[in-house]
Amino acid sequence: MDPDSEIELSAEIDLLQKIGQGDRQSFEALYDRFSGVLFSTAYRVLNNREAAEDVLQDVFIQIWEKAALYDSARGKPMTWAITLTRNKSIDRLRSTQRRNRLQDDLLHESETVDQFDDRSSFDAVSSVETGGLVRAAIQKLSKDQREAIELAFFSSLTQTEISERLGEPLGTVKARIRRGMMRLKELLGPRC
Amino acid sequence: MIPETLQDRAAQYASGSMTPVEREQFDLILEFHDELREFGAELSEVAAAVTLATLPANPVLPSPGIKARILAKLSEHPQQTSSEGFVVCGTDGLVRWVNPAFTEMCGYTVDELRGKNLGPILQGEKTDRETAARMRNAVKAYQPCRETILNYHKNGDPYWVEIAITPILDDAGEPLWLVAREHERADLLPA
Repeated sequence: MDPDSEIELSAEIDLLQKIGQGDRQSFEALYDRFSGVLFSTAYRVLNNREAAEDVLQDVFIQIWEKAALYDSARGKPMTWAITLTRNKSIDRLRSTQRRNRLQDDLLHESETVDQFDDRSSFDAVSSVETGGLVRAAIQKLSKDQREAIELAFFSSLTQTEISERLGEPLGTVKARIRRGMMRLKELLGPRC
Repeated sequence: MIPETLQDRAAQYASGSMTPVEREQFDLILEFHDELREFGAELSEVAAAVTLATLPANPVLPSPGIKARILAKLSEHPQQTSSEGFVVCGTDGLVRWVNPAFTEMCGYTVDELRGKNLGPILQGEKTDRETAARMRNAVKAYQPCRETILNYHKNGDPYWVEIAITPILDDAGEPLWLVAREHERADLLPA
């Protein structure tokens, strides 16, 4: 990890510790630092501003409630927050069963097209350096691994549903996702 | 070496393809399985990197009023300051691991409890026998159960505790561990 990233990480852990002691100023600082990324993450899954804002609210309330219990062994603060956001967004998407409507939205809503190009694939990535590196790593996965990981990340399908969608045994799908993610870890190394 | 079935679950957890129930169970495993927690953290970092890389270059921002809305709600949500007590037992019902919060609750360390049956150690004179029997039967049958029971601290003081026992199964449905989450109910003790 480069020195700037280490300083940033240390600042984020410090903010979480202070939030855990009830410090609202630190909470506001963390909101200012994380809300853009977390809202974009929720919006990317839900494709609905109101729903994404509800998820953002739930995530920050959970951060407030659980900051004192944050365990760095489970990941960096931003990773923890992104995981919470993705999970809450996917849960919401599944529970409201808006999947079919989302596909229609993808075709018809110009706002979505402008912002995400193609939200169901890895082709739409940010132009920042890290985005390019991650994209390059993804391109090195086998086609089967990419396909399984894409579905796991962006379709809101469970692994059983992915297995049905691909017409492959559940065990095969699980192994593809696991091996694909381990390969990405290997390719991305300490950058992530 | 982490068994493949647990590695698969870690990948499933990190990629977001678990159901909420599966995720809650996996969180319990992460509480006590250090090697798996480290592996899961690495995969979660990968998942976060992929998520960040697939966001648009110009982030979509929430409405300006959202921050104020969230801040206004904080007072309705008390902060959790101590984690729950956790106990992990093998399929033989004997203790494998307890967390520090559990030790704080009952006074016994993990070394004092490892390999032992908790019931005779923690239950005492005024513990309800029927409740204790229901818990024992659930453990034997690898069934989930939730009970509130009177236990006794190492120093002899009684305390009420809400216990939720969850069996952790492998992919073939065979039990791997039993995990109990314990939450002290000080409000149930007579004043």
